[in-house]
Amino acid sequence: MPREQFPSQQDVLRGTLDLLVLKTLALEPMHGWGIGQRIQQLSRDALQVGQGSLYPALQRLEQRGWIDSEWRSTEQNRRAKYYRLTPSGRRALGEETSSWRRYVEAVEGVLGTTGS
Amino acid sequence: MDRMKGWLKQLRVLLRKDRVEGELDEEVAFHLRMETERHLREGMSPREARRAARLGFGGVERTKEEVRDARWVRRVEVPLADALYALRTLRSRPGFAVAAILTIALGVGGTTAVFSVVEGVLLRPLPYERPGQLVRLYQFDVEAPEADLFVSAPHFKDYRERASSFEELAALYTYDEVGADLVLGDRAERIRLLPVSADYFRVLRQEPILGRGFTRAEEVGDRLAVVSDELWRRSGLDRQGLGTGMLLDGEVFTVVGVMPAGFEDPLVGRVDAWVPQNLHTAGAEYPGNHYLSVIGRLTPGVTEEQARREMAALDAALREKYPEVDDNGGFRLVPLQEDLVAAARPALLLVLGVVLLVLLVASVNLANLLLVRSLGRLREVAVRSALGAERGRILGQLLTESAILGLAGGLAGVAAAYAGLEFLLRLGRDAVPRASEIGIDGRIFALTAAVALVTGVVAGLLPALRLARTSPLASLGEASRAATASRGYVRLRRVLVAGQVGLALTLLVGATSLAASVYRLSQVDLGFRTDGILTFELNLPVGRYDAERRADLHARMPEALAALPEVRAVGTTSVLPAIGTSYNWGTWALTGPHAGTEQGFVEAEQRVVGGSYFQALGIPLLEGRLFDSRDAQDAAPVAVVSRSLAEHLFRGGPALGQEIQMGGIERRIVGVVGDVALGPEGPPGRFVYHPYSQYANRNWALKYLVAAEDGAEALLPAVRAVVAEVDPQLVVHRPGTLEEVVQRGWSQRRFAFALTGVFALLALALTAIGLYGVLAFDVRQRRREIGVRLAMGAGPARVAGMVLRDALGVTAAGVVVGMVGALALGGFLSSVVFRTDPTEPLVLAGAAAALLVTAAVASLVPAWHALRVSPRAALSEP
Repeated sequence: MPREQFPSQQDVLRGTLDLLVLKTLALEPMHGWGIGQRIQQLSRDALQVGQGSLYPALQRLEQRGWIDSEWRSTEQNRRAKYYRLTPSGRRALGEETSSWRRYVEAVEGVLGTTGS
Repeated sequence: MDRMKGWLKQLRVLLRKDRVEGELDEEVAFHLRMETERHLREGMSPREARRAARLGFGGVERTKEEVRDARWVRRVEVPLADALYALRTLRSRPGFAVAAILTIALGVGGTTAVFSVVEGVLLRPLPYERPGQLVRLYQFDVEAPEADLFVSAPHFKDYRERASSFEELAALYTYDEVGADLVLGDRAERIRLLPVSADYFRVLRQEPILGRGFTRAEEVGDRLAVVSDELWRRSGLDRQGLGTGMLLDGEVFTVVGVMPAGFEDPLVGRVDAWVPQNLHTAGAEYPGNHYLSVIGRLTPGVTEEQARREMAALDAALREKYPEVDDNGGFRLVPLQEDLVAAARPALLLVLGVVLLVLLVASVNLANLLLVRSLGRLREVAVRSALGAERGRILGQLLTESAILGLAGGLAGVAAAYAGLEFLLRLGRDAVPRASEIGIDGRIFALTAAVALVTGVVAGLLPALRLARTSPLASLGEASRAATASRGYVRLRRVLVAGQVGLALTLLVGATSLAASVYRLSQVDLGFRTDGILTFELNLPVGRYDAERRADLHARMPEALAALPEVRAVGTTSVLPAIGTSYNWGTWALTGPHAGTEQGFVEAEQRVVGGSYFQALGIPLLEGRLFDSRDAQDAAPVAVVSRSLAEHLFRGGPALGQEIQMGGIERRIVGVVGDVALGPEGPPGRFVYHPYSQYANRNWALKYLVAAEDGAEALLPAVRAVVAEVDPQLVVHRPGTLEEVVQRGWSQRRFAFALTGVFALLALALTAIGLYGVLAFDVRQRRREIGVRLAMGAGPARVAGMVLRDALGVTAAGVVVGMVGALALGGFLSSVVFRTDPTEPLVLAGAAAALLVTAAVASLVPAWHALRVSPRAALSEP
């Protein structure tokens, strides 16, 4: 396996959040609050995304061109900013997912062989 | 693609800041509402739900800040805001902005243009390979060792043979402007020829790119030519190829080589064709006949010192070999670059000095302007500081303004530099050598721009930094007024302006001296008329004109021209008057009291004249007669001499009827005419005039002088028509007025004068701006005092007088300082001026007066403002 450089602690956290957001949006376009709810749901309440991190993450992803936004009406007829995945976002999702899986494998590798 | 779109969307932040922020608020509000509803569904009361939602969210503002930080535009926002603010404030003070930008542009642009010229002429190496090895050789007489003479052919050949210090030596014939009429189809055109010896191309390390150069065997005047790339294409020879023939002056020259484009001769400049120099004519055998220009290349490893030592030994040997030339002092070696620029150096250095002065004035002006500006904004800065703005941001904002001014000034400066260079080259067309090599030098621009930048930054920041140390509270209070008017700064600014005045005075003195020089030059009595005379040159091709036909044409042509109604008289001459020495031959008196002695010998200018030369130029006949029909080719050889020659050779006694000998010819004097200046500066030369009718066997091109009643230029078409009628294939070469020709001799001085004049005016304008700035500020500062005075009944004259006194005080101080500078400059100028003492009291007084008047003018607007002060408003100000 080729030697890979893993990102820093903060980047991992950020990167993970980005990945989760992208995955969520892969299912369907959603507004910010909805994304947070969905992540919580899908992780069976294990992951609760603070909005202090969510909205900056959405800003970053939009700037990178992986997601796009537009203002729409909700079912309750309220205005909300909906985000959706762009084509390059879809590609990025694939890459980030593989990257994450490799990371997890590496960590597992260490945990699995040393200590108790 | 998506990435770029996402990136560009951020620009909305800059353009529609409020919309974007509004959306962020809305998004957050939406989130909170959804949370609140969720809590409500969980069973909390509305109040609790809202509270829980808020707590759950965390810091709303902080989140928003994080979102904002995530945007890349964040980093640009602050500087951009500063820039926009700076632009707004500059627009509110257009006078200041324009003054600052102009100052920078003129200072930087002007300096760059001048430096580029100086660098191109004085500093840049010649465009040949290893130019440091190229040298020029002159001969000199023991009698006059400082004078550089051309080299004689036998001496050149000996040096070429024997001198090992030189890899190659080449001889060029640059003594006379050699040209030929090239016939192209049915048109004839005069082209520039340069006869050179065989090693010429090797010396300059530039062989023809097509074909070849010349061999030593061809130095017998073979009809071969190497042409310039430009002529090759222009004349269509390129389509015929090498080996084709060119019809020059009626003879066929075979083209054997073509030079690369852009190649120019170092001594002569642009050349159309090179031909082999004939080194084996009769004249070329006489070692006392100096007419060749010699250039050479030092052998690698040989220093100038070593070369000179070898030359000294060689010279001694040659003196023995040619005992008939007893005044041969030997050879002198000069590095070629030095040789070419030495004449232009004084003028260029003067210009450089002038420009540096102006740059100084401009920098001082800039500093002053910015200082005043910063001081005026101290209050604003204090307020900001009190409101909590970081020092860094305040300074950043101030700097932005200076930066914008600098940028605008810099751009304007580039334009000014190009315009300035254009102007200089046009002005100095005849005075500036190597003009084709001059271009704007980017490094110089960067350097002067850096100077302006540093000045701006220092001047702009100085007061702000000072303020940063004092407490904001103090600056806001009553003390702020005192702070801005603090003694230190007021004095500094006054000193700066006084300095400007001094510099401007120095420049004015220089400009006035040069103006006086040019004026006096123009007033010099040259001994002949210059107004209303058209001149042109006619060359008669040897192929179609023999001696008889030449004499015939040069007799008929003046008559034909004189027949034109506006023409007063027509004369011809071998060399135009007052352009310097030419054909200076040793002349002996064969009869008379000093015949055979040292006093019976003089070096005299020989001129061949025809037609009504003396009448056309208004040269008076003093004794005897002028040439007429008696003086035919086969008649007794006669000559007319100038008064000073007659006096020298026949001191006191009569000159008429005496016999003289020059260049192997004997002639009898039949007339004495008035003296004529040798060069444009006035001292008369000693002339021997030969009639063309007795000289027609030498094919000298004659210059025609057509004296008209009114303007000479208008005659040109009529003249061309007459010439064409006589022979349609003749070229009217280099037409112009005699005035122009003579004035070309002053070209260096005129160049220096025009330049200094322009810069002096510039300095004056800048000083006026500087003075105005200081005075305007003072008036604003002293509003209260003025208000009090006005309230107490002071008349408008008193108040205006106050301002005026202020202005004159500063100016007077500057003038005193400037006098010192002017005296220093005077020493430097003495090499350039003509019959003018740069420290003449009249000149100094005039310059001082000009500055005082400027000061008075500069104080007009501030004085008017002072009068407009309403006493009540001024007194009730905090």
